Amino acid sequence: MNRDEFEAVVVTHQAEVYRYVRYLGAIAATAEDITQDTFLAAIRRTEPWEKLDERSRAAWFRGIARNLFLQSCRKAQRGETTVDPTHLQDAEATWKEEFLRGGDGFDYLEALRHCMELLPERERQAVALRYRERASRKQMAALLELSENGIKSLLRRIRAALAECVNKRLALGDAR
Amino acid sequence: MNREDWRDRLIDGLLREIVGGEMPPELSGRVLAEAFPAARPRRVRRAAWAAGIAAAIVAAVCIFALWPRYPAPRAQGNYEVTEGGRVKRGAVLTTKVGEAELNLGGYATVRMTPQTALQIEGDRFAEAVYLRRGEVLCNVAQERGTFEVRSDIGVVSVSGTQFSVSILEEEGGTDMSAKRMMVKVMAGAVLVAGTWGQRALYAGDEATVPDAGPLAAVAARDAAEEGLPDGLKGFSGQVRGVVTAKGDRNTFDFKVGRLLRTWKNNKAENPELIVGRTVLVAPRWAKGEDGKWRPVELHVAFIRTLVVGQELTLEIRNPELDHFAILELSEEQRVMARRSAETGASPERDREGVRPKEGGDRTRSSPEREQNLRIRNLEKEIERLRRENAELRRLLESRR
Repeated sequence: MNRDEFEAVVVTHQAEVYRYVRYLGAIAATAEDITQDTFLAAIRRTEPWEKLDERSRAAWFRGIARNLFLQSCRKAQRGETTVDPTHLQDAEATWKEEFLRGGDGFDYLEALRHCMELLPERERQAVALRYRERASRKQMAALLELSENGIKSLLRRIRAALAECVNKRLALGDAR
Repeated sequence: MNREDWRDRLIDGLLREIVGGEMPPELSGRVLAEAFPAARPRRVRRAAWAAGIAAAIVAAVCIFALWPRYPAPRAQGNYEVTEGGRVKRGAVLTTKVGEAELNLGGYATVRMTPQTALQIEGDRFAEAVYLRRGEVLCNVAQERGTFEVRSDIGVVSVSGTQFSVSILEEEGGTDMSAKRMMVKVMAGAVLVAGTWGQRALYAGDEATVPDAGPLAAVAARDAAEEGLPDGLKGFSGQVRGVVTAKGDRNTFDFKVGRLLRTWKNNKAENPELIVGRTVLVAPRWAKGEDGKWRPVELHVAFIRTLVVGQELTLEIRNPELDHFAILELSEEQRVMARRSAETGASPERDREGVRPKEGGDRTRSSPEREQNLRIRNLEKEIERLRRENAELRRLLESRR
């Protein structure tokens, strides 16, 4: 694979690999390093991965990224990982079946954007505080007059509602 | 962690991206640099480093040497520098039978006619010459710096124009009072100021100071223009221009440079006629609570803040006769006027006051009236702050 072909591969898959590593639980800086190392590992492999179709290739990159993430967890914990590899199977299944759904996740992102607009005012405020203003639970608790646990529950309920809305929306789209 | 937890984490990550703007980074450059490093022998690399450093040093030296510096005064032609020496700030240059040209700051060119003497004064971007005798023709580039021709009689200040200044001396007279200064403006505008007063002159104007005759002629020419042409009667619009003189009854002369717009109630058939014309502007009059007509106090206060030479945008209309009245002030102008009314921060305040219509029952110096005005202004300020506060609350609520 020459430089240009490899560049095209990196440009196509880097966003998904990065998102996936963040989803597994890596902080932003670690996710960047793992994403970079994933592609470097790929080009040094001897397997003919170039011949894979895009979807299989994406899954192969995710596999490398997952292993690198586990390695980084082990290093961070001095040989002990806090991540149970069996849990990562659930992670992969959720990613593949719910987020990608045979595509690249674009539909899911669009559906999520739409569902956010349907949120009631208070929930929308909570989302803005948490994700746009990056307010801490303590700050949010003071502003929304809830306990910190109440904020945690509220955010979880909002995310569950959004996931349900997205699922319904995508299911409707599939039905059409 | 079960599937629910992973779903929750998935949404969490995507919200960070959609709402928080945490986008996946662009890493292709980094990856490619690692994957395809440029393979070069170490010696070549070292040589490349050395060459790079040398090139950087040479570039730095060149930049330092060629960096544009503020130009020193330069002169050419038939001139002498009094007491020898070179052309520099403070030097006195004289011409006898020939002419000379002096360049100051790279933006002001001063042509010295024969029998002229001047001293180079001023500073960087604020160039000036002190004209002792003779005549200079000046050409000043726009928006580069200021320029002044100073003399015993006064100062001619410009910021981008062509003009000439001559010192006129009465025969045999060495007394300062026997000297006069003639200013001709070929392009742009200049402000002529001295102990005798100040006046703005425009392209085509010519005036001799301190003799009031020619200045009066300029004023007379402007005054002659005051007879409004029919096409301008009933004008109502927004114009931009320069204050050319202050009147003694809360009026001012305003030379219109541009017509910005006309309002719906404009009745002038040819509003463009206002461009280039000097018009007399007065405050609008309004009926007071007592049913008496008076000039709007805010307009009067605003006019007090104006200085000759000031450029501004005004909304005016021609209500009757040949003068114009202020329609509305902009927010900024209202603030200036209020400050002027409250603090008396006006260069003209001591000379001019609010002059109520003849027969008016209140005077400007009345403490009661001053107090009422202050209370009204405070009430307005409080109202404005309330509005701002409410707006801020709404914004804060929407952000929450």
